[in-house]
Amino acid sequence: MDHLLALVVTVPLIAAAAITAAGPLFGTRRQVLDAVAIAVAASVTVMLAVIMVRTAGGDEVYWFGGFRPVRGVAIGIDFEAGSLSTGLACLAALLVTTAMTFSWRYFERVATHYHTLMLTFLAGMAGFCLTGDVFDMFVWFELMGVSAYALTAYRPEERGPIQGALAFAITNSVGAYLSLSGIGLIYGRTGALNMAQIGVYIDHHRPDGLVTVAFLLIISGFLIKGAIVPFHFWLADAHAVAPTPVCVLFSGVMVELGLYAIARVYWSVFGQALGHRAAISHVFLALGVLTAVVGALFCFRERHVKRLLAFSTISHAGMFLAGITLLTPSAWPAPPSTWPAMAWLRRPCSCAPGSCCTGSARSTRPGCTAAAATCAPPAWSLPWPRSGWPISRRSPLFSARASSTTAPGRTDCRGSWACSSPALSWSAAPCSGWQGACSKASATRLRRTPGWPRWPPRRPAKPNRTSSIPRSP
Amino acid sequence: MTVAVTTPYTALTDVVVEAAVTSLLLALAVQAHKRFGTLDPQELASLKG
Repeated sequence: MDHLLALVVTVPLIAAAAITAAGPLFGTRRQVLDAVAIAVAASVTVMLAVIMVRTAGGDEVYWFGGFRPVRGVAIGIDFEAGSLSTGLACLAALLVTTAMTFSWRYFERVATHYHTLMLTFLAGMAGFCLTGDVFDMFVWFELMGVSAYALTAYRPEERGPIQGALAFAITNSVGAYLSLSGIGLIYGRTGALNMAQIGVYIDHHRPDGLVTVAFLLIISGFLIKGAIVPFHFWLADAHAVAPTPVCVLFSGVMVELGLYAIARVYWSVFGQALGHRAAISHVFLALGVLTAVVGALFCFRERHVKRLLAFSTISHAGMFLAGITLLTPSAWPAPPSTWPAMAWLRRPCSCAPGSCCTGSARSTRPGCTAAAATCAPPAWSLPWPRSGWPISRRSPLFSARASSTTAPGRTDCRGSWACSSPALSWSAAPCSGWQGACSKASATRLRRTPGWPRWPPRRPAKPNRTSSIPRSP
Repeated sequence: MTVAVTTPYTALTDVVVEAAVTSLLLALAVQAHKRFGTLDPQELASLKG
């Protein structure tokens, strides 16, 4: 795998530092700055696409500095490239590229730190997707968060961005601290930070209450990032005040990464060894359904377009969580397969208000919300090329040990989630209908709002040649 | 043994990360005080749905 995986995060970080250092040299030549940042984001996209093609035949592990595990004990930090993790990172890089292309015309004047923050944001998201170390995941989580807070408060001279960024930063920081506490507990119990190593330890030892508490703390942090009820309120505040290219990233990929982390940590670290799987399944499914319903309700009553889109994102996040919960571990990449569709439909919806009047309420195209609401087909009907997970337990360095010493039936957990609660499973279907109806109704209501621009715009009437226009003598 | 080796690096990394987050939060609080004239959360009410 040479060093391409390492370049995915080092290239944007080095470029961000270089842009900051060379900021005064750019001066008024903003086109150069934009072109450099877009080229860096595009190069990361291409690198991730190459890695995605390479890993089609099997997952790859890259150890930084060559610190490979010795006798099953990992000291170094690794990146694990699978089809799903690389695909999500590639989606994030693609969205950053398009958002920065859009911001070329969106901002009349832009400061150097905007490009720096966007590239740091990209590095954080890519590292978060690819890392195989649970503490490293927290570090990328915070890097992603710091960039996002600063980007939300990009216009500090206004009141709204400051308040939105403050709510966003405090809520997500609390989530990060919860996750860090859980990581500390699991580290104290297992003596490991590598997800595969922790998984092997938990498979071999009966998990106690401390491991369960650690699991709950780690998951709580990611539930906040995923904007799942009751941790959802920060998204609408941040979404309403952030620059539109940044909103594309918030709704398009950042929220989904929280859900990705939940599924990854559960299946890669704790898995079936944790026990209580029926209870955990019920809780996640209930949270997902509640989030979908509450998000759709708030979407219906909202009149600010960007907040409306934010609640639509929350509603979809609930459906994704319910989809992840209902699926088996081997089939769970099905819900993420809908995320590119949602990201690409969310992108023009978010950009339409911004392109007209930089994010004020009433200038988007009617109908785009309905498109966003109906963009995600039923998750369980979509195929995914490979089962991608849990990658850590199938990594070349740990799979032999895990398969040779694990008790039968503990790692093979197919069918366990899907069969645990058929009544709850069926509740997701009317919930999906309810969500779609609310989103459609909100779009219709907006279209009927007085003063709402008609789409498509009426063509100006042709002048009537037979009209009574006075002719010149 | 592994815990003893990796704990200092983990703690140092955590200190760096949290320093960055805390400094940003402090900057946001200073800006909020400039714009709103207060840091009372009840008074920060420019956003309403």
